Amino acid sequence: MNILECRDLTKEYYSGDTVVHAVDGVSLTFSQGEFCAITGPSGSGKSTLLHVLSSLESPTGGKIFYQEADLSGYNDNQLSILRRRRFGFVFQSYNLVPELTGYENILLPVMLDKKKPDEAYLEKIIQILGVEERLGHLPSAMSGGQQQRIAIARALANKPSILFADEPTGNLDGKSGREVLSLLKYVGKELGITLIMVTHDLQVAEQAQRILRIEDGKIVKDSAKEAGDR
Amino acid sequence: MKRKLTVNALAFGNLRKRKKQYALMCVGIILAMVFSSGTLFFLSCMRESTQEIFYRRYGKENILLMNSQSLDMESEAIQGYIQSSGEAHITGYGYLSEEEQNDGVAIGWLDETAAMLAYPVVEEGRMPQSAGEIAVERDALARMGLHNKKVGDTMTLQVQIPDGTQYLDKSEKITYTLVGILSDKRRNLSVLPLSGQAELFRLYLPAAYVVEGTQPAPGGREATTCYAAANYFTEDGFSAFYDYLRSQNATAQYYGVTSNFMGIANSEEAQVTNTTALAAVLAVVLTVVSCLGIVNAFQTNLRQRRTQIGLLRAVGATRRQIIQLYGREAFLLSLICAPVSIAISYFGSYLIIRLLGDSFLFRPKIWILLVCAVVGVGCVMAAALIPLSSAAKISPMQAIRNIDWTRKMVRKKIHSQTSYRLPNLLAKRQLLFHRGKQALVSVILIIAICLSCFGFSWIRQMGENLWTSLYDYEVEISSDFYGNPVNVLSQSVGLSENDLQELYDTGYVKNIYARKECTVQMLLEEPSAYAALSSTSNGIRMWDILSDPDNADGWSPENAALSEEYEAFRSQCGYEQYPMATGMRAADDDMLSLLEEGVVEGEINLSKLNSGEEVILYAPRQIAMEIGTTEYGNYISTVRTLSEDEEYLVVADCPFHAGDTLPLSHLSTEEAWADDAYSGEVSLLPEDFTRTDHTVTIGAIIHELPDAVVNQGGSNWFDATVITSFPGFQTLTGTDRYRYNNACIYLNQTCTEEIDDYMQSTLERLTSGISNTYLYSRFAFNAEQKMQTRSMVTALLAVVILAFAICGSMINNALTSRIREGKREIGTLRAVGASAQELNRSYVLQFLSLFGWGAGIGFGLYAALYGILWAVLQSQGMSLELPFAVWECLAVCLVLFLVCVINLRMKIRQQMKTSIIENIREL
Repeated sequence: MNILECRDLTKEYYSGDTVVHAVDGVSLTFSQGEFCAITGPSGSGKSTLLHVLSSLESPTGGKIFYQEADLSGYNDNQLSILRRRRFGFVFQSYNLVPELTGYENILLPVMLDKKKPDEAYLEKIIQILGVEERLGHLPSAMSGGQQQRIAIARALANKPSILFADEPTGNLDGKSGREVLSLLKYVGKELGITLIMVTHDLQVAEQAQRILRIEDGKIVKDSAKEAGDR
Repeated sequence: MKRKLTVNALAFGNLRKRKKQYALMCVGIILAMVFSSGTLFFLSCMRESTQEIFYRRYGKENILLMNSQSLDMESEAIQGYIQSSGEAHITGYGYLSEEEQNDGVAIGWLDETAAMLAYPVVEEGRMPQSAGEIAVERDALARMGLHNKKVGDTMTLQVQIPDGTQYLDKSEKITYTLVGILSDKRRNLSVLPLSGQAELFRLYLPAAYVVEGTQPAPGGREATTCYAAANYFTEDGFSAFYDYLRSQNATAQYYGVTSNFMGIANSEEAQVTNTTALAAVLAVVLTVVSCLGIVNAFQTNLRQRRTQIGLLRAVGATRRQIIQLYGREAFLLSLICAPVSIAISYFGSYLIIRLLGDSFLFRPKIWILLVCAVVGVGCVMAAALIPLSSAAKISPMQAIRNIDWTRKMVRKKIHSQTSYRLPNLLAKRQLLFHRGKQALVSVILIIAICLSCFGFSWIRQMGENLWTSLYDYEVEISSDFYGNPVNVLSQSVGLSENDLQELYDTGYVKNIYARKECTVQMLLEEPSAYAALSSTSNGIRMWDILSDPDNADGWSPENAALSEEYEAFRSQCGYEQYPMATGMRAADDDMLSLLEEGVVEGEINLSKLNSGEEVILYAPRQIAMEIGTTEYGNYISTVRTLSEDEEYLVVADCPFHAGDTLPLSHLSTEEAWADDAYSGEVSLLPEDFTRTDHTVTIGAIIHELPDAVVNQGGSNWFDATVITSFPGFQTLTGTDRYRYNNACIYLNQTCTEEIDDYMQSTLERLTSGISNTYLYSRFAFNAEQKMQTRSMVTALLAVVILAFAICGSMINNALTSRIREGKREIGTLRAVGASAQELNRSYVLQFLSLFGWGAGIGFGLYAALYGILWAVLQSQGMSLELPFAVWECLAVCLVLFLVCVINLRMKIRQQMKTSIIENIREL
């Protein structure tokens, strides 16, 4: 079953008088539990595609369907609720709230949803991510790797259907990067979450089930399609 | 084309690149500079205007000596008291007809110095330049019934001729051409002494001017009135001069040295000075707050550019270069902002001054313009350099990675919450981590609220003065016998009940405070210094010493024998006790309720006053006697407000207490028994008089008369005046023949000049058959006074509102910069699903906390300062007249709060319109 679908998706920017087609007529589908990596050279539009797919930015054209519901009809409040309940985000620069502790950052989507935290579940992901020691600390007292783990825990806290990750290992050293990546793969598999990850590192991308290559805003290679064609 | 890379080029480049950001900053700087320079402009114009208004109303003189020809103004002794003096040469007293003699005008001309001091202001036409021309004050024209005369018209006056000191019973008709109409001075000045000297002002203070050098008609000799400016414009300086004149045997008959004029001129000056001082304090504080705002604007700007500073440092820029680069930007900004701000504040002040009315002048001083420009540029530079020097000190990597902030956060002890409401927790944490930055908001609020509360107290007090101003008319009927021991019933003339009713029936009268008075003897068990020192007018003195100052040294009541006159009086009246002459006044219920404020012992019981069982006694707490010495001899004076620094010959405490019984004796006769020159000779007392004795209880004691009572005019209050109601007065005097000898009449607010004319003619008709009637109209004076007070209230209100506007602007700037700084955090929260409402709530909660603290401390500080002021004044035996005003400030705070919340919501909404990625993206 397709969990996320986009049809003829475009995103344009204006740079002076020039129109930049960051995403140019992209149509894709993602199925439940899939691990997909989006790759491409710098400025190819891979991050923009992720942002548009995850509703962090609105598209210039085309449609996005989440579980067959058209997101173009959603207002800001509905999109906020969708993001806090169904989507999880992991950014390259972690983006933790600096005034909240590690644990409070993890709780953020749950608290925004005014739900009682599922403590057993949270304990499990905290344990998987190995951040028990840093829960009471502010982000400023953590290393990059620790901050990224907390960011992953926050992204998973509300049991999302899709986890979007934008270069999650970009700011980390090789060892930390590998650890974070295997954690993402593990939790995705363990919890049945669709993982859509942007990376320019081919070694990282090769660990995904499906690799999309984007150039000048267009999908030039989709490994799933190629396998289907074969 | 190659461009040279200079600091200026870099600074201009930065300004161009960050146009929007700098435009916002410029708006903040311009606002701050406009507020401070605008307040300075406005205050200087207000100061000039109020001084000019004061001069126009009263002249620049502060001493008036009427009939001053016998004084040698050039003498060394007088020159010690007086800075400059000039003379008005009175050539006659003009009126239309014999019937309207009391509405006449003194005619004369001023020498150069007198003209400078008297400061006549021509409203229409010009001053006389040739014989036969006359310029008259507008009110004087109206009083003579010549309202309709215009410049160029002729007018024929009956002119009474002076003989140097008095007017002769000789007059001649003179026809003048009216060449000028002047603004009122005599009216204003004659209102100042309140009573008693109005006639002197009418006869000897010129309100009509003829050409210089004019002589009185043949057979006459000009009288002179001296206009002088005192060397020491203080009560003490004035008193010393007054005492000197008294020592020269210069009595008030000849010398109109008006101590009341001084007092009121001082109080009016004080009102202007105090209001200006308060506004000046506000202005200084506003300037400081504005500077804080500019510092804040630069701090925010630099904080956002820390990375840029770090990078410049990393590529080799020295601290000096960094300061030069950003300092140049600040200088360029100040050069843009200063002239714009000064232009805005200049025209803003002009508009406000114009709105206040024609009597206010727009005369900005050039030096203020320069000060504003220099202070403006200086403030911007100082404000920019403070954060800049600290930013330049940080190491490059610290600046790039924002390490000092990280370290600051690590030092805070935080306990993780396992469950929370995001808006509340976020607000709490942001307040904790950004306490220093946000404290500015609270500090600004504290200052604004505290000062504004005092401003509102002041406004309320001035507002009360506006609506409870002095009466519009006073009718005073003076009897030669008032104050003399035996009252003459046939001389008891005045207004009747019917007359008062007729005044009410006009429909224009709001209230009348009327009173009756007579002399009574308080019969004491033993003679006392208090009784001896009290002011008993022509009553018979207990001791001779009081008229014998040269033998006063070593005198005390215990070792002194009573005066022969006093003993003779006792014996003639058959008193076993010791009589103390004083006045008894009857007042209506309204006046009695005004007296309640001054009661220090007992209470006012109306029914007991009516039945004659009780009376109220007004008696100063202490009366002291001191001997003054001049080179011409000693003189005695009695003092009622004692100073710790002075030594007194005798100090007598008030011997009366509420609950004491007091025998009162009323002496009356039918026929007049002495003339107005009577000064206590027992031999002149009538043989046939009626003595009516009553023993009453003192129901209440008043040591100090409330202002509201003193303002009701009438003749002076004697020490130990017995006060009662009208029924009580009738019981204690045993007669209903006393009439109202004083009435203060208040008109409705809506009365016009026509009604003023009508009221004056009604009062003149009602009092036409009564001799020694003085009718004072304060109508026009009050109207002018109200206009001026209203303008002052408006001006002060404008400054207070300005204070809040600045405060609002600073708060909004602080909040805006906080939101701008938290842009990335807002983006992150939006990315994880926070809605606009939650973000709004978080910022509103932060603002609420800052506002709550600021407002709470501000109001608390005001209450504490008010309490301290109250306690200090109480300890010095004074009362705080400034009302406690909180509601007005609360209302303004509420408006300020709403404005800030709306602004906050708008700013958040603006951030919400930006895409999340734009929010999150690092600069």
